[in-house]
Amino acid sequence: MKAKRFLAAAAVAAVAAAALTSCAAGKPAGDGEVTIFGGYGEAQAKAFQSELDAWSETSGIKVTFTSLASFDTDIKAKVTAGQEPDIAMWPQPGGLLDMSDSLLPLSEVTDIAPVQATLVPGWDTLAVKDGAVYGLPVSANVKTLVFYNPAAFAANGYEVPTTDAELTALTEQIKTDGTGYPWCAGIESGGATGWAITDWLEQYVLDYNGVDVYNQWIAGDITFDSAEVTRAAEKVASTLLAPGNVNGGGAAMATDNFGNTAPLFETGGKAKGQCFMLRQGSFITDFFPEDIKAQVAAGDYTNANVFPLPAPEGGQAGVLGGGDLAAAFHNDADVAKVLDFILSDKVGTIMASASSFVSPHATFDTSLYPNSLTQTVGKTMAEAAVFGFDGSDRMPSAVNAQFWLSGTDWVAGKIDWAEAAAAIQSKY
Amino acid sequence: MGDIIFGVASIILGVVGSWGLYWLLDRGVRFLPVKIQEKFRAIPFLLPAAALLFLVSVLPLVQTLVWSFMDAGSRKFIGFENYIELFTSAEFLGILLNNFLWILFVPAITVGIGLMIATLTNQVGPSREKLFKSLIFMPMAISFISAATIWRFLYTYQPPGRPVIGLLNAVVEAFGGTSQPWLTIDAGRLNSFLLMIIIIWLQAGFSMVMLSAAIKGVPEETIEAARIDGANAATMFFKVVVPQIRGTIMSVFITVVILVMKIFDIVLAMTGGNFNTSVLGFAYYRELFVNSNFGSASAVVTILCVLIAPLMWLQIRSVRSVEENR
Repeated sequence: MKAKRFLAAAAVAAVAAAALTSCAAGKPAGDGEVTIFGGYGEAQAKAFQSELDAWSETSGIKVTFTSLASFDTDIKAKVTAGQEPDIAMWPQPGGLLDMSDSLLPLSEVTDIAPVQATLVPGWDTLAVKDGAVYGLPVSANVKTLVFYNPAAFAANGYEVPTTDAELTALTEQIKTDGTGYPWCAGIESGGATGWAITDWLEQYVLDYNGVDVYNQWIAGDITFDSAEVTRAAEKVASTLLAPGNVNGGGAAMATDNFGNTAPLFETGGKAKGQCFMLRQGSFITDFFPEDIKAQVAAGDYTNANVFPLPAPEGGQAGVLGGGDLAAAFHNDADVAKVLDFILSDKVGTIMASASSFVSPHATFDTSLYPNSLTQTVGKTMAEAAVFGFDGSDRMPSAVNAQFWLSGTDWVAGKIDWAEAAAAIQSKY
Repeated sequence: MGDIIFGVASIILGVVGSWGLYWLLDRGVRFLPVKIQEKFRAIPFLLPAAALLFLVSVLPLVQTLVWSFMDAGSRKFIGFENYIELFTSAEFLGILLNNFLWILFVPAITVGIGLMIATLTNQVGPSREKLFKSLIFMPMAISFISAATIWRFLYTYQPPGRPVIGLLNAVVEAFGGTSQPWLTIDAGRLNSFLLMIIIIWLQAGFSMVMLSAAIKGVPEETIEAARIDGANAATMFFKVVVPQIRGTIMSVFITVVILVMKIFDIVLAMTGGNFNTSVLGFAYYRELFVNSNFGSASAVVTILCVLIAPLMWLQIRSVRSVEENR
């Protein structure tokens, strides 16, 4: 009996001591090194690292950024193996929230109020669980964009469409003229094949039905086989899957890599598989052929420019986009300082000029974007009032993965939309 | 540097530690009466290995089985729901069909080709034999994922007007045909068969080496006797040689069957499971690493284990019969 009482007392003392030390010690000091894992492509990863290197000259904290090949799956493996970084940057809030058990609420690490104040509305509500913010954006991309080749448009006398009716008319004209294919639309992307088609659907669900229905759809309250979503699917089908709209049809879309932009800059017409319009995120400029990239970097837009995708008849213009959200695994003074920096509107001075970086902050200095193309993209983001984060990224990851898979089968003509919708819905 | 010291230290500690453990156990046995000592001497030496095997092999197996009856986060039991969901989904039934096709064709063709090449190379003289065998064995050195990458280039498709970079489509066009997106064509499961060719290409060398050795081990007297009795080449091969190497054929066959059951890398790199090419190994990967569903992933693995277990038993039995025949 005596022994038991002694043990109980000792346990209480131990707990109290632990509580005391954790209060008194506050935030542990860092070791001067911070690791970040992310999913950036080569160009952006390099630019981000130089940005971090420049910052560490003043802060004295060495920050190492590592890009994981398949971020969503690799980060899970790393965390399971106990090799988690200090900070990780998810391209998908859904994947981030899946791992929230291993993550710290950002407000525990640092004061996020100043960062939240300068963000474009909507960003700070993406990675929230039980009222705690787990992730905030570092960089963004805008997806409501159509890239085109002004030289090819001029050669054939085509005008940039500003309404959906003009877009449809242009599509028909390109087909009757036989000058090429109206759309470039590869959706192949290794293990993530299909994401590009989900963007198309989201855009039209957002445009036709507004943000409320869009959010209900993402949350699973509006089903994939509902009239609202089916209407968007029909619009996508008439835009892309109609015969002659994409080179090789749906089966070619399913096997053609999304980054294969060469046909957009082709000049040989239909015989060479030339296509005229590419709806894609702002990051796609990283995938342009080297000579076109050099032209754009030099401020020459004769071969590559951009216009916003017109809203469909009976819909409103919504801006759709994505971004990389940073979350913290560890908490020390250095991690806090790094977070303060990468989440602020100060990030981007190097990245904006060296890659397809777009800042998610309304206060970002748009003159830092190197050319008028990126400035158009950057301003679209900074001035966005209704900004919808790429929806499928926020669905449960099982639903998202099935959306990719069934979306691909739908594009390839293996199944119709009703079958695809049923398969995706079954994952809820 | 720290890692190296840590590595060396753990190796030394491991060796000394296990030596110490066995020494102690042996000491312990010596305290027993001499009569019992002899009986129990082996047990302390088996015990650590058995315990380790239990820890890293049996325990996870049981845990996987338990998880397969739990929800996605392994928090509460949901009975057979994971299994019901799998067996009522058309997608999963398609996956089972694919696995069935893989098992039906790949091992048989691999053994057939291996047997053919082994017989032929045994008859071309030693220097040519070496050359042919090295060439055919070479793909064995390539990992599955690199093999898939190579074959992806072979099957790759470019829409009309774009430069043809896939070998298969280049051949098709040279004969006046039009390029096809091969990996999307699931009519008659053509795309699955295109994936199977890769494994056959990889494993034919293994099959050839094993079978060639077995054929060389067939006693010359039996062949001589058959020849004197006037048997022709075909009779000699099928009635004299093959029966004597049946054990090796079986063990090669089953090794390839088990390999095919677990196939995953090829599907991941070639199609990502799209266009009805998914198999059990890939379904497991998707459920666990993409969907974070431990329950469903465990159910898939359990199904895979149940299907493989009888094959393992067959494998062990056929290896044993080969040994007995020696």
